[in-house]
Amino acid sequence: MIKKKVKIINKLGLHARASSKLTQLASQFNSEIFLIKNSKKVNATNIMDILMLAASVGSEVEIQVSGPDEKKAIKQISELFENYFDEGE
Amino acid sequence: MIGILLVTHGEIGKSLIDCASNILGNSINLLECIPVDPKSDIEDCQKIIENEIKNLDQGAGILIMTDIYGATPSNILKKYSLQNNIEVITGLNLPMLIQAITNRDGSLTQTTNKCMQSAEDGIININKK
Repeated sequence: MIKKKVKIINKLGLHARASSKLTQLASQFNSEIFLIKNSKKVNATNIMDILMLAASVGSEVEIQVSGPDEKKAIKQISELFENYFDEGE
Repeated sequence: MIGILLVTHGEIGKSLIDCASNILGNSINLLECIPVDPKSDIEDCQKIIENEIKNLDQGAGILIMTDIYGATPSNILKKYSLQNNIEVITGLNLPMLIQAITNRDGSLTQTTNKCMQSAEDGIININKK
């Protein structure tokens, strides 16, 4: 299992459309992918669970990935956060 | 895939589908809505519902959602809830609908339970969070 902490830098935080993009990406891998914020752990393929984290800009979440393509998964998921969920800001 | 049918007061169902489509960013298959308003004829509504049930049924069952328990749409739907391949739930909200759309490859019972949980989890007093 590998873990990585990422800061949410996009203006709207982990809002509905960003969460949707995250679940669509997370669903492409064979690994199990979780997000953790303030000790609350949710499955990254479930949009409603992600939204319940209410992760706004400036907050930090941990990505936990476990499985055959974990390195590729954590890289691409981190990049989605780092690229502002392709929202430009 | 489980079919989803919304039977709601007025255009609530259509608006929720529009919002869910915007959030999920794609068109959504096997999802229909039927508006019921004060002028609607109950027998006409039943015919439309039965037609949609046929169209949406791919063998995995149909989840029907409506807004207020005890109101006309929910009363019309009561008889369909007795069928084996149909579940009817009330209290429709956007979390419930999104959960249904994104988790409908399992059993009808599992999807129904998840949807009810999401609908409930989505009601939060933010001041007390």
